[in-house]
Amino acid sequence: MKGGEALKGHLDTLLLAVLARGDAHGYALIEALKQQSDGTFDLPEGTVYPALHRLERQGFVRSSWEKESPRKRRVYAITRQGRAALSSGRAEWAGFVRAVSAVIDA
Amino acid sequence: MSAIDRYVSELSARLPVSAHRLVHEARDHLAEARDRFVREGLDPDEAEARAVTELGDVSDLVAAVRRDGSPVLSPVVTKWMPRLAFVCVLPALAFLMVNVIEWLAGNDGGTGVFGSSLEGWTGILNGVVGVGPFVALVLILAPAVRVEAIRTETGFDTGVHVRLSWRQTVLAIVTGILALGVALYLLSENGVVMLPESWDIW
Repeated sequence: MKGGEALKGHLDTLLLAVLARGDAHGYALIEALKQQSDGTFDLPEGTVYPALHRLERQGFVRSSWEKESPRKRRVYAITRQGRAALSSGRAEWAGFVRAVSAVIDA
Repeated sequence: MSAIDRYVSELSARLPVSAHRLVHEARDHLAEARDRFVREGLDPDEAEARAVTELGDVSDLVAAVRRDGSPVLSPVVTKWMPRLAFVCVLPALAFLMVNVIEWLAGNDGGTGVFGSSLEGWTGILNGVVGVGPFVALVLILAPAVRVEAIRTETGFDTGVHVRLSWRQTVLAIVTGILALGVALYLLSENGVVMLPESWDIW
């Protein structure tokens, strides 16, 4: 299964997981996703921004313009609600992995 | 015009106004990517072209924004709405508090902050008290109105949805009850509406 296909449905959880380790702007988030997945998640970079905006509308992340940067840069940070959503996403993923393993290894 | 300028220009022309923050983010992203590719040895034009390719087609980005739904009102406007809603509801809350205090003190028939007349200056002030919560209700609900792309058999259609968070739902219910209560009280005190006597708790 290609990285992009496996990512569908889990992008929000992955973004929250990266942000849980530290605030980041969009480009840094995408690079972190690529590096931490050893290049498996090499998704079309533009898809991240609508996902981040959706997470912000849901209250899972907040963002602000970074004042120190020479360019106009939007930095994202996870919220308490976002951490709760991340926990829920982790539990859901663990359940999914268990179920798939049970079928594949049966 | 550079590849980045062309990309950003097309994105700006095709995105709904409420999603225009994405234009700034895309420009910053492309500039960051271009600088990185130049450091890796590409010439500036090649670096820009690669940055644009890796960001993805403008159509895909616009489609992703439309799928997620755009708020009808710009976030710049909706940011202020909860605070304005609070200001609009303050006179009604003060009105309610005075009536409760008078009732607890044993005074028969709360008369409200400004009396209950709807004539003259008192009427204007009571009008503000009465209308304020309805305005607050609109300010609470408006940011939740979204235009979304709905998948149909033949493609996509546009639909208007209202999506409330649990917080917005609670606020809307409480404000609605306050609005109805204050309006009914003022209207009944002035004979516009006749309420059953059993409702007269003052």
